[in-house]
Amino acid sequence: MITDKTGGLPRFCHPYHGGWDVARIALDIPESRILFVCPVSCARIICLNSIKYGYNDRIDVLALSEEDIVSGSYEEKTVEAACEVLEHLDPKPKALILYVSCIDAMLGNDHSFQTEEVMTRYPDVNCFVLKMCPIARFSGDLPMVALQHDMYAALPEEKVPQEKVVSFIGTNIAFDPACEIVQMLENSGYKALHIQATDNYEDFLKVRASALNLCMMPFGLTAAKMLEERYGTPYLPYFAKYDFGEIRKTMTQVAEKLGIPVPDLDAMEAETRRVLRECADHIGSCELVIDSTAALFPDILRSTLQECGFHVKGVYADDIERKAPDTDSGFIGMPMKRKYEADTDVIALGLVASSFEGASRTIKVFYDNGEWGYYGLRKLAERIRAAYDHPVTAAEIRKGEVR
Amino acid sequence: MKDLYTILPPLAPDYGGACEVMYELGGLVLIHDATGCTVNYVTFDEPRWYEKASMVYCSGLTEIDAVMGNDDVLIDKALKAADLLHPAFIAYVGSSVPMIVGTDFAGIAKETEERSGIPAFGFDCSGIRSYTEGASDVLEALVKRFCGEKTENKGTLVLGLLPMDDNGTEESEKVKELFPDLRASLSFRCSLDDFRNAQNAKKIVVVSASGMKAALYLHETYGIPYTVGLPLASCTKEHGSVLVIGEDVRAYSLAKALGNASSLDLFSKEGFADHHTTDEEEIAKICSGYDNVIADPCFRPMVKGNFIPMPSISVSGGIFKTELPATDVEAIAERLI
Repeated sequence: MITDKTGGLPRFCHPYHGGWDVARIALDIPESRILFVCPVSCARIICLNSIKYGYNDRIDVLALSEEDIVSGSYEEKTVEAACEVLEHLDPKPKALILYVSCIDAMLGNDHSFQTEEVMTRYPDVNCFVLKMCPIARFSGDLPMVALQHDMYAALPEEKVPQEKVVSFIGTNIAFDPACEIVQMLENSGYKALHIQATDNYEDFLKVRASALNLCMMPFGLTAAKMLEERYGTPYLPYFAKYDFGEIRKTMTQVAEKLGIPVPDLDAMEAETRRVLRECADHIGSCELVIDSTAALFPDILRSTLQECGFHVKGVYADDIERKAPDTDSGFIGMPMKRKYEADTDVIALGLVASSFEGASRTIKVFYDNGEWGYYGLRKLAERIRAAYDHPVTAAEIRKGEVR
Repeated sequence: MKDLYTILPPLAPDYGGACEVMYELGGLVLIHDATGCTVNYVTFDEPRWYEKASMVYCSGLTEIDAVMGNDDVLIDKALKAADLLHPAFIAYVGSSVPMIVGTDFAGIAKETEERSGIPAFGFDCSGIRSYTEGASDVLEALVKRFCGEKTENKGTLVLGLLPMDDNGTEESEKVKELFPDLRASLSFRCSLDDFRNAQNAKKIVVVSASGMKAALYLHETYGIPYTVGLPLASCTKEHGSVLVIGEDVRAYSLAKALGNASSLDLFSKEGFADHHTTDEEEIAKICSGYDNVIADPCFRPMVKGNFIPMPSISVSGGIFKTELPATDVEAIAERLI
């Protein structure tokens, strides 16, 4: 359980950035489709994001009226809507997700009747429930934690024989095949699996066959534990730490766990330090600001960047003292002042930092863009250099996203 | 199936409309929700978020406080923030969970005002009604509370102009330009003083359904005459049949200016438009009877005839570019067949 960190003040909500809302993350499950069952307003941001980023053909909404909620008639209505959606689809999705919102936490619904009824009528469709209930963030799991858990809990309980597969879970963005962890695994004959990188539902089912699960974000730890209990798959945290010692430790742990050779980490670290120092020299005295929607552990990133010669002006986060990620993502304290002109010559890592700082140079990145380890640091150096050489403001980024 | 959206996004809800009216007035506005509703509003429903500061915050409602009816937490947060920010008023805006547990916003506002001496309001928004209903409640409450004695009779008062009706503030500015003797527009480019002096207007023009209740109150209380609709130039071009889809008064105004046109309102059950519905099957059927359809780009898949995109924040949240200003009838007519 976490506590409210606002100090008894109302919460400041920054506009949502990155496009990685709970629906888009759930749709990482290949060949899946979502039916939102909620008051109409709850699904607005989800649907508009889906249009903006081009996956609206996988989302439907059953809008609940006050009468539906009070009378309980929406339980039947949900089944009817789910079946109507499926009836008109050819081919049918492999998974139909019934997504519910805060009011569901208040009503304490049991959805098993609905999912069972849908699966009776459509036996080839795996129908299950996911929850978007920020109201339960202090009394239950955080939405991101519950989401990761419930996505993988939807896998069939039946165990399958283990294969040379390593699954990356707990993050919405698939790894880049060029990163060192994937190279290390593939050089030893392991398949690196992230469900976002595949269009085949069978690959989602293959998570059960993993020899090891790498948990990419703290949000995924509950899911990793559940998979260990259910299928006996061990897991290791593989968070986006930027500390060179941590990167080395994690790579070595993964190699030891699988009994595979450790690559030349000295060379990788030396090259990464060289790239970062060169970038720091290139941007000179230009300062950086970092926010916790851009970097999972912003304060650790600050230390590494400073160590390599960068000037970091500050970090925007709910709680940086814990040196932990913002578990309540996207909500950055309650600033008393915001800037409306991009007139400060800093490089902002993240759109929130850019907006608060009035940055003339902005890097659009959300949760490290899935770029971890040495590879992630080198990619970050590329982004910093690009932001310095070709300044772009947050407003210009937003304008560029209008279709 | 009714209430099943497979093509259209959910439309802007009542709490968005309520907050839009208060955005520029210097009040402390608390959306009573966990976070998602406020993020909805600031991300897609409020184009002024990036241009002008406003004290719109989220109450951070929790499951325990909702179940226990612990309203003191909400009031304490508001008063603590008010000590720091010195707002002209405090407004609580409801959302879906307060609707379920029956939060007494009027009582909360009364207690807030008694404890702080700051004018306070409570709005029973639910996230289920349309943005025009939320905006309408707020406009009516504010004019009832702040209008004083009538001391002059001058200028036009525009009621119901929200950037949400358009595709952002630039378009709303163009709507304002339609009124050369403008006294004030009470929900866009205005201050609380404009509310305090609204009773001194010579006439009222209602430009969206959001303004109707406030207009009726000012008419009945101060005798100010009102008209409904945008004063758009009439179309001179011959064209086939047209359906304009959007907000009631705006769609009706454009259809009237174009001629040989009908209107479909997405946000109310009754009003000036020829049709009122959000049902996708019904809308597609109605669209099939017209040569031209003017609507937000989200409607494009439902239209077989000539489609003229006219995005609005209330439907697509600003994700589409404006191609034609809603006030330029001749330019719109050029695209008609």
